Amino acid sequence: MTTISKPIGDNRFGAEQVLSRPSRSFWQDAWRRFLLDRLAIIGTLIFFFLCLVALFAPWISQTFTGYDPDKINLLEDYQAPSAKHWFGTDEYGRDYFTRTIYAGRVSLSIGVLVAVISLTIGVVLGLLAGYYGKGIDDAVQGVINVLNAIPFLPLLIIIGSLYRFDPFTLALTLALLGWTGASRQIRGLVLSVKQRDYVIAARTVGALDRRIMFQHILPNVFSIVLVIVGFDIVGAILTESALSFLGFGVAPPTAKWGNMLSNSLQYTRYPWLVFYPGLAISLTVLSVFLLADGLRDAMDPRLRQ
Amino acid sequence: MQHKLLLAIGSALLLIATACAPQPTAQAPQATSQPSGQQQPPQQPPPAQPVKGGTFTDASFADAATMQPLLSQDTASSSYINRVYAGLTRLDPKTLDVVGDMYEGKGELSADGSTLTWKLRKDLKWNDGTPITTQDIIFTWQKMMDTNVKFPYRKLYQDAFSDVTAPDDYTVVYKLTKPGFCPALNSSGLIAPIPKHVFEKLDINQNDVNNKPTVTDGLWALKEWAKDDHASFNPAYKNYVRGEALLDTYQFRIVKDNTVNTQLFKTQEVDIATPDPVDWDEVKSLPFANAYTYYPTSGASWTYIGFNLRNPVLGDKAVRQAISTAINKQQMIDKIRQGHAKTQFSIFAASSWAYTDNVPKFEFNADKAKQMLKDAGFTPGSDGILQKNGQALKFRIHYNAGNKQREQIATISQQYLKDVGIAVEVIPEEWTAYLKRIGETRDFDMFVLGWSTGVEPNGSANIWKSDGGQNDPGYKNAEVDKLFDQAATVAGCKQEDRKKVYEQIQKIIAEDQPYVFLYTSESLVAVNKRIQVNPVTPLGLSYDLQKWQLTQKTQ
Amino acid sequence: MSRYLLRRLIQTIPILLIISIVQFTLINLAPGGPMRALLQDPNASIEDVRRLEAQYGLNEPLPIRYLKWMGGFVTGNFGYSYFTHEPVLRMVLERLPATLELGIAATLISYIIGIPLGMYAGLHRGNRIDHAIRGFTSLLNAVPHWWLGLLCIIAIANIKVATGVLILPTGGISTLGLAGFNPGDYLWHLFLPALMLGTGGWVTFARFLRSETLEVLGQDYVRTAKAKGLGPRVVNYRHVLHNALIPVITLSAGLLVGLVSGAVLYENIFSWPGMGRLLFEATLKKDYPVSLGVGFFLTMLAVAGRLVSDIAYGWVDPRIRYD
Repeated sequence: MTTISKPIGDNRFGAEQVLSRPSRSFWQDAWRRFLLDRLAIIGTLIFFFLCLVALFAPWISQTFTGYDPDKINLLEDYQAPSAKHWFGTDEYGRDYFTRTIYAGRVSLSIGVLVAVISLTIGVVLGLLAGYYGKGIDDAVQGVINVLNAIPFLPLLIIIGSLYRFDPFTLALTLALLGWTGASRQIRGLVLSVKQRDYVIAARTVGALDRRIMFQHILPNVFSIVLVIVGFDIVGAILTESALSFLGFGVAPPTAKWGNMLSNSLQYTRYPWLVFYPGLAISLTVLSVFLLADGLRDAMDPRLRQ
Repeated sequence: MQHKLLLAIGSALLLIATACAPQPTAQAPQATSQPSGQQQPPQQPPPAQPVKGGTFTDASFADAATMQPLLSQDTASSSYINRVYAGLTRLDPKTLDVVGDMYEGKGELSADGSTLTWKLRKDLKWNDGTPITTQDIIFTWQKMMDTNVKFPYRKLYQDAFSDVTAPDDYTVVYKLTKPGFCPALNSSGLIAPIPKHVFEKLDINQNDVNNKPTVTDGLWALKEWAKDDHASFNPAYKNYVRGEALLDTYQFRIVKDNTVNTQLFKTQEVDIATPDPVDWDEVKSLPFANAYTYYPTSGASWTYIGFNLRNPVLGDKAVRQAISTAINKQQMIDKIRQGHAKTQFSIFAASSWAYTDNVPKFEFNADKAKQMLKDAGFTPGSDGILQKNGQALKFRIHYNAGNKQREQIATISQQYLKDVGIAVEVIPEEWTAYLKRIGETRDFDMFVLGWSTGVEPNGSANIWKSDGGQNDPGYKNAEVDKLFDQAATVAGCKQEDRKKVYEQIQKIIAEDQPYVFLYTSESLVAVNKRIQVNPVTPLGLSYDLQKWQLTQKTQ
Repeated sequence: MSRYLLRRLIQTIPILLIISIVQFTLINLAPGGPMRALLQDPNASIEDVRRLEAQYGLNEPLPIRYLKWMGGFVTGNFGYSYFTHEPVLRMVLERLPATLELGIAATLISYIIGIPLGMYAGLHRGNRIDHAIRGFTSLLNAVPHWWLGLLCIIAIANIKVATGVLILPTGGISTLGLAGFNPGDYLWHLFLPALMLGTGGWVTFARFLRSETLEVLGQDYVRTAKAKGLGPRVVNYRHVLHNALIPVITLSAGLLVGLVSGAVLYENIFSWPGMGRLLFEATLKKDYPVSLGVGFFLTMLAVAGRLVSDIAYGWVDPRIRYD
């Protein structure tokens, strides 16, 4: 289940353009096409909406509902959704809406943190390996081979049984295990871009390696990077949920979508407890997929007309 | 558009999963304090002719590790072992006294209390035809004491008996380590004897017979065991000490947990369920379910919050009593156990014969708790948390991760204590690391844990005596130490005489509150109506498995 | 080819060595330890725990224990479980068939459902069915599959109670008490767990193959083939499918590692008597020798999967030569 499909690098940017209309830059063109993709726009809006809700969760709960996410009120447990409790209450009588949006803060932060760390490692190592090749490349590929040979979930269970994960250590662990995909793709891209005329040209005029990497190669890598960020966030949320289900997730007092979901399976007679965290996870993943699909299509030069 | 359709399909699945179940009443039941175990389902009168044949499918949350009685240390292993090996003694389902099973009648304590003598029945045979004699019992005892055997409970038996001998083939004499030590009466039959002629040539720790026992003497014989999937048993042979099984197959099926067990009971893939209290009403109302509730005597399970008395603040009795007063135990029972538990105020399970209610009680009263803390000299600090001499009432409360009930207790207590001005941090920890913290490094303030105790109250001496190996709170009271020794060696070992001493102990410890005593849980068991089980007693439903049978179709 | 194979096999040795050291260190650094669980019994005593720890050699320094384990390992002795006292190798081998059965079924499901769907969606880009496939795969990817699996169990149980019909078994590898080997019964039990475990795979394949098909369709050789007047059927199957499938093989290696990971999850949910469950239980109980043994086998399976896919890759794509 943790096999999240990874986008595959499209290394044919700029192939066969037909100059049948006024010249537009690649970015203008991609942006225009992205705006035309209805699903992608919906995905983007949902994703940003979820991020905003998570970001402003304290403000939202104070202004609209006035509940503390951890405040227990045993006299009001298992309340169905109502005007008073929008998403109902859980087995402790805690306001489920407040908990869901606070949980989103934690879950999305874990996701973003994983994305940032794994991308940093992946991009740096990918660029180095792709650009310099030989020794560095071999070393990086060696590490990747080891990491790819390890089934993650069993390893995470072992680590989780030793040290209780908190959001940060979980993100760090997931990132340290999960940067290989990004690195491989970046390396592949670099290898192909390196042979392009403009890079060869830059090198001939004596540009420094660092300058070439950052000015010419990195921008090309941008779309792939965006897509990877999306998938890392999604992967982290789904993996965290599986870990919580097995009992090795982040320690319970903190609400996360994953542990809300696994916890709710004990209370299937109260459907709202199952529904809302499920909806939150599904919306996040779905919106990231739509967004990623849209980006990929938008940057696909073969669709330029 | 298609997305909407798909969303609809998705929600439909969710609805089937969640909505088909009977809906709970909109309002959670109001706090009821009546114990709910009284209304038993009517027992069908036993049919005139016993019904033969049929299969019973039991559920086990883990597969047994071993079927070697000397190596077993988990409940799944002991259930498998109890199917195939007969016991020397048993508890009488009516009187709850220790009586012979393979042994005859009752054990005889010598006048000076230094030896205990049992007679073995003479008609017993292993199922290969070899007679069972005291040689097997002595052999088993020697292996228990053998330093090379990885027997986990050696100290318990060493404390009870210094030697076991057999004057003849059918008499066993247990020499008590401490003359007059009453609990020894219970210890004499705890480990089932193993066949000497099979195991004498083998290394007990590692051999192929351990998990494929063929020479046994129990009601059932192992038919097949597919690890982590199932184990099935057929009736053994006619010489089992309590007769022959009526069912033809008894099988265990391994399921992940209570939740999955309950689903499998609903599909009738297993015949028994021990649901979580939240699922009880649903399971109880299934048309094919017979529901049983009882407070077990043996294996009574009760739950508490322990204090660390080594902590200078918690070492103060007044603080512990105030904390206990701040916690609403009845509300916990109503919310966590859905009412299926009894409040417990002292060191024994409320279903134990030694239990008394006549002890100092710290019933919930938040205002009183605040007053008690004020009287003890605590005043609110700038952050609202009570403090005295710069020492704030801030504690950690540990529990073992994954245990839902204890998580709920810790979380709810945090709220109760916050209400009276005490800050508590809730920390889950992996099971064995948690046990090490509580039992060895002692780096804790408060912890949530439970005990599952047997019939013999002296088992608790290990918990409360100053030098007790399981005295996690660090409780020290010379009076209690003395009384425990006294209760264990009351002349004649009569229950009512011993109970008087245990009552004194309970009063002292309840006053000291080294634990916040919470509740004794009620056992909730549902069995498929196809199977007619034993009438429910404090020993549960399976004390006479040979009498279990299919329910007759025509009344 | 055989030289390549040999080299790859030699390359896996350091990988396994590193993994075993990491695993061993992680596992043994844990506080607590296997014998502590005994203390949940009020009759057990700390003396007994300490004695047992010494008997099992748990007091020795970490490197010595690793070397001992490794020493046994190279002679084919994986050690003994602390709880079952059985040889770890035997315990693992007993559970290997169940895991393989589930894994192979899930792989087949991934291919059989994923490839035709992805191919169809790619060839018919933009029509209703393409949209439906994209939507459905996105939705399936959007929910945790373990959660879906449990909801299925609960739904099946509720349907059984409401209608008396058991649509599918809710777990286990076969019906208990059924005499002899009954393939139909096995398949019936296999269906739901394999479908759930395979979902990640087929969804990935379908989505991936769709974009690959689109890409291949835009290639010159496909245009040439079409221009030559070859029928769409020939073009689609000989050129498009063949070429689009090549990267799928690369993806398969990742799929195998994913399946091995998923084994832990689904074997638990569906009471499947395989290695994933064994590993999970052993980790909970801190049965170190078993954890290490199963971890080693699971890693081996993953490495083997990668190797097979590498070889298959060279076989399908003649441009690649191994030497």
